[in-house]
Amino acid sequence: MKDKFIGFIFLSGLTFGHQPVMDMAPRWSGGYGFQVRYESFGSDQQINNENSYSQRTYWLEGVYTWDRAKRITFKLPYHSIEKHDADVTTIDKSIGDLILALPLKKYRNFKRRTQNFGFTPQLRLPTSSAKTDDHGFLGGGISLSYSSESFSFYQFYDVFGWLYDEKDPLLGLDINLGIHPYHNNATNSGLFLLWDLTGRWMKGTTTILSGPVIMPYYQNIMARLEVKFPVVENDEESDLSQGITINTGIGFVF
Amino acid sequence: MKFKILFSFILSIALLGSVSAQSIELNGKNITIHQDDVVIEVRGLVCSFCAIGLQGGLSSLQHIDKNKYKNGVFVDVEHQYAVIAEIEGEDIDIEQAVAMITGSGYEVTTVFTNRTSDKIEEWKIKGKKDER
Repeated sequence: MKDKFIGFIFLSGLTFGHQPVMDMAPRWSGGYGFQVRYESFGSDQQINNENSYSQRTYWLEGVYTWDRAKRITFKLPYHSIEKHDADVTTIDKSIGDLILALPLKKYRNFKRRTQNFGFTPQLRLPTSSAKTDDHGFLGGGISLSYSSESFSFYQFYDVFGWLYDEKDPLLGLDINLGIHPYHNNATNSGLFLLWDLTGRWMKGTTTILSGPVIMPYYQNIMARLEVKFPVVENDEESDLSQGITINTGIGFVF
Repeated sequence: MKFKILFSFILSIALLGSVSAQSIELNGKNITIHQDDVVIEVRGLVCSFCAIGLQGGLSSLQHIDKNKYKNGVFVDVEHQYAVIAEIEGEDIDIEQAVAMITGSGYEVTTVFTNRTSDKIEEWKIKGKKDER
């Protein structure tokens, strides 16, 4: 049971660590935005037994830019976890830990390109005193990021680490590389196509996921559909193969 | 303003032929400048969400003809420029427009106006860029 617990904790770590809430926007003073995301992973049959595990997480995320170099973001998850063990099915629905971040950015503009370096201190605050697979942990994190965007290309690199009160530290890497194949100036609508690489390292565990991302947008609304496949899963203590992770979301900026 | 933006305008007049004078070449695109249009070259303006912010900010300036474009402003993120439509006979405060754009994290390099319909005025913007 302990082994399973460790494995699930790590997998749940995949969902919360991703930075940022929004990267380039809103860049203007007083700008703000929010997005809702849905993320799911699980397995009908675990590796070493017949049990099943399914996790769905709904995220509410927001950003406020009071100065383009300084932002504040929040992420609040709502977890719905269903475990089927022998003849017993347990369903846990709960609000997860609140994550606050203070992205500090340094911008530079070029003739046909803009870039920014980011330094982001983060804080994870438990919303309940009870510790479960997914919440109840106090933590602090640091993120270092770089992104560059031209009209046609986008690249984003983010390295981050977390320390917790009663959990092993987590190290993460996110890379997004993409193209911008379509844009209509008149309607401010278009499409980004990205490739995402997500790596997570915890004590005795390495997981790397990768997959395509489609991001259509219209005016101030942007949607995101992401499918990630496991590239590396090295976790002797987990009973769960990650399988495909699906992430969908929609965001608004003002 | 919290931060200093030091810029000066160097006015150079492009007195060209009456037809060809209405067009300029900007970042690989031939742009026709109609009378009472102000074209601003914006360095760093490449993302669509940035366009939304800039559009909203520029639309709030005075003397904008909101019947043209989208609330008086057109933004081209592919060629990095914005067009502001002025109300006929009324001029926008270019310095204010430049400050608004610079304050949003971009750089303005050139401003083009066609206020008399027969010549394009080109304003080179020089100054400290704000890159926080």
